[in-house]
Amino acid sequence: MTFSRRKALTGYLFVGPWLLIGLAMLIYPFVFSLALSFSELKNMDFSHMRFVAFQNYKRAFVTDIEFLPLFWDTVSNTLVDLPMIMITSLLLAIMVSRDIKGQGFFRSIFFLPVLLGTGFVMNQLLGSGVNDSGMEVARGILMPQIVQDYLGAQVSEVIAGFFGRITLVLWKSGVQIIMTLAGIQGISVSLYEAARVDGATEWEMFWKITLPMITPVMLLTTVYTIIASTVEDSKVVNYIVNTAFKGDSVKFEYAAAMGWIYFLFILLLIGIVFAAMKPFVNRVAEAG
Amino acid sequence: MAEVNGKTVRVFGKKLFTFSASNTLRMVFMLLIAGFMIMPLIYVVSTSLKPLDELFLFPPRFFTRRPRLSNFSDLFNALDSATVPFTRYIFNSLFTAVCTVIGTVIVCCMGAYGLVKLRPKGGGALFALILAALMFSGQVTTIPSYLVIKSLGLLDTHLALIIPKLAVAFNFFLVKQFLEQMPETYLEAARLDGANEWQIFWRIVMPHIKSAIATLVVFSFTSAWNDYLGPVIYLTNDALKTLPLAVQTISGGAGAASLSTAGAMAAATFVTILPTIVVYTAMQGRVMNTMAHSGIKE
Repeated sequence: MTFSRRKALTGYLFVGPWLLIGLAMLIYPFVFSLALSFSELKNMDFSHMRFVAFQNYKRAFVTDIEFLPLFWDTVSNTLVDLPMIMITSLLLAIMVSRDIKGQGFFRSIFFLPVLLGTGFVMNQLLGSGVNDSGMEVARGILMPQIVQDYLGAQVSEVIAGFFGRITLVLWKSGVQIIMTLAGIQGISVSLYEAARVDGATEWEMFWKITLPMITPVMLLTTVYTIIASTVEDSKVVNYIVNTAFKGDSVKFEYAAAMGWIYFLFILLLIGIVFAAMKPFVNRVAEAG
Repeated sequence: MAEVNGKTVRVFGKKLFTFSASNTLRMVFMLLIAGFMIMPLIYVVSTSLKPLDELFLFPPRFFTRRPRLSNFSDLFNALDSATVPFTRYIFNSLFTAVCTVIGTVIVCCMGAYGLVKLRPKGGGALFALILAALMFSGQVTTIPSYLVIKSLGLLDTHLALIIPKLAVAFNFFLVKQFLEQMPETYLEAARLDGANEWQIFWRIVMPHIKSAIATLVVFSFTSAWNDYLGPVIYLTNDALKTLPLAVQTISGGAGAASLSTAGAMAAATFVTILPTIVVYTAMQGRVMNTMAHSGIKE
């Protein structure tokens, strides 16, 4: 056996465990759910599946009165949050990237939500139970009662909603901040030095150097944001899972169809974002 | 970036802070944001220490005036009247999370090493597959995954929680990005000295990518620890269930917001977030390094 062949063989052995588990837990379920979405289950042990073409898909769009509203709710939330998350993470990353004392401290704070925000605790804080008041407290601190009385119920409601949103956006920006920060710190210092020699202001340097140079990272964080806010923990996903596993009649095949509609839409969304951002992505930055 | 007209404050000769309008403004702004972000965490901690009357106070009080640990004793004692003690849930969560972390570190590092440094045929296709897997949601494939677990006979075992979290596309991607920056010369030198690939992997590659591993540990621990869907789907036996389910039972069980469970709930929330913070703090320095060099920027 030659050296290179042995090397390749060892390569397979190393990749083997991942591949085996990946095939069973990632690839096979993916293909199977596609098949399932075009079928009707005759019995619960999956031995008899009848091909029904697009019947399940039709049901999602025509019959089901809950799916589409939830779907649009999630998508529109994502689209509203996306620019806010992008701007927030860019702003904060720039602030942290300057030589500021306690850089490590701020980075950790911004990363904190990544640890806590994975669905569960976030739900505890914002959702039901004792901690429902968590957000109320956050609002109360920002806006004392006297100000609320002065502004009137409606205005203060809007402002409170605004702050609630900001909190959410901040909580969702953890990974993006760190990624953008990495991008900014990767920009060669000589570019700034050259610009400064030529008399450029900080403001000009931001638009002419920082922003163009981090466009590849921005593309990445955009895609990450879309995936994170649609895939991980959204109302649609909960609805799909509930359809599959809870309720009086179990509807695996319908849940699979909804899952695929959702997946294809996210893919389309990411595709559009790619196409729209590609012209702005700086080639030099990408290469260098 | 040099400050031009700043007045520098020095403590023991160490530069502490440079006064200038923009610097101070920035610091204040950052502290405000930081305070804003850390607030929910403080609230969780303070709520868990509140006595019963303060828990139901309206408007709620941010800081407790009379901190006490009665909520925690409620959580651990009173709930023992249920069939499964709370500590059992903690054990279940810890056990599955630790197994997941060890498993995914080994599996993903081995896979990435094989793919990046040994370059077997078909590696490119495999990588394309992994990129695609990054995009599709695990929830879409919940049902078939359930069938796989079922046909492997793993329903109602902890393995059902561990195995699906081993071959995670994101983890693989992370290690791969990191390994690509590892100089080939290290490996060549080891090969010349007669080390086999297995030895190279454990003695040279693994120590070299410590920071990537630290990040992996944090991410996979967090995801395993906070996993809610997995136990809901795969487990029916109460004795095997994990913390998120236990907390849900406390908060959503009969008499949801009853007096008896409110305190325990507050304590349970605190107990649930504590380990992720501990793990993160332990790994923090290295994690930040990886995030900064994860190949986002070549």
